[in-house]
Formats: sequence, structure tokens, C-alpha cells
Amino acid sequence: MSYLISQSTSTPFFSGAETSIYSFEHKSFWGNEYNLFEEATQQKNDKQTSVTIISLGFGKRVLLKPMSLRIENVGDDEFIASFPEAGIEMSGDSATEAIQLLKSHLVALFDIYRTESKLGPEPQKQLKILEGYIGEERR
Amino acid sequence: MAKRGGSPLQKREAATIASKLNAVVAVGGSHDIAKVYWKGYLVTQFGIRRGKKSRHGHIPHALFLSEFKTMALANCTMTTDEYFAELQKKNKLPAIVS
Repeated sequence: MSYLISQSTSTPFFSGAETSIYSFEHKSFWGNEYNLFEEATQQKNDKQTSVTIISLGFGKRVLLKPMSLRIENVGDDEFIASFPEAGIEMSGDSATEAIQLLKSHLVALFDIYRTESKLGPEPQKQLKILEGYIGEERR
Repeated sequence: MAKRGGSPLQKREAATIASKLNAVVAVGGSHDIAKVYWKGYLVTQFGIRRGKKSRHGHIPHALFLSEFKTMALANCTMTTDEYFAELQKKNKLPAIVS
């Protein structure tokens, strides 16, 4: 089942296949099928866009509230997705891949930070922010 | 419209930096995570993507460096000590009372 909450318009940034990040039943790079439920909330220019996500799609971790991500096209085959509030970034060959890798990275960091006994100032700040967004799936 | 070529940082540079900083690499499903420690504290981390040619433009931000300095770290013109001195200047290292 998929949900469409925002019909994207074709832009130089999100043209063609890239428009598909907004909503669809997505077959991930890792072979698992899950729904993306995302909405482009702001378009700054043709190289940078903000996207709000409401699901992570990884394991037992869930988003507790919508998370605003920024996606920047930094070259022909490179997009950087970032979670500016925590200062965490990840690159991908496409906007879709960058978002998926960032989601995966955020979940992994959340788990890593929670198991580390000694965190430096930046990871401490990032963990505090991530704890406001990521939680356990309720059964 | 002409586009820039993307980051010069690729997987090789990412792996070199991880090794140089004695990072502990956690292997993940979609990508690996290099965890950088200083005196036992996890002070930063960065993702290492799959694919030899994959771009790693996110690394400078993760290391709190410019792209130029990140390349210097990868190309050995910046030492590990110089890197941690940079982090110290930017207050990214914990204050340890001895």
C-alpha cells in the first residue's frame, strides 16, 4: 500500500526518476519492500530541497515525529542528504539513495551512540537530538 | 546547465582517512561507519559507502574540516596529531581533567 501526499512537479533538480522519492511503494537497494511516506515541503532552488520524512523503514526503529532533511545536488552523480538539526550528512548517487543511506546512517548512529560509554561533545549533542526523533517500534 | 563533478573524495580516500585516524569500522548492511576515537572517547564518525567510485562529499562535514583539509588528511599532508589539534581548536574534543 502506498500513500501519495504531495504530487511533485518536475524541476531541474527532481526531474524524471528523482520525482519518485515523494511517494510510492519502494523497493529498496537492499531488497526489502516498504513504503516511503514523504513530502517535499520546501523547494529553495534547483540544487537544494527540503524533505520531511515520517518513516525510517529500518528494523525496529521508528520515527517519533516528522524529521526535516535537506538534499543538495553537489555534482553530476552526487547528492548529499543531511539532517541539519543534528549536523549529520550522507552522500548518494541520487537523491533517493542519499535519503535511504542517511536514514540507515541515523538508525545506526542512534544504536552506536547508545552503546558507547564515552561520547565526545558532538556525538553527545547528536544523540540527544536523535533521541527526540527515534524510538522503538511498539508491538 | 553544467554541473560540478562532485566531491573528489571517494571510497579510497575514506578508507585511508579511517585507517590514518585509527577509526573502528562498524560494518553495516548498506554502508560502513568509521568511528573516530580520541583518548577513548568517540569524537566523530563518518559513513563509508559501498562502491569503489562512490563519492563521499559528506566526510568534510563529519570531520569538521574543509574539503581541502580533508583531502590533505587523505593525502598525508595533514597528520593525525594536526587533525586532533584542529578538533581541539573547534571545541570538538572532550575536556579531560587529569
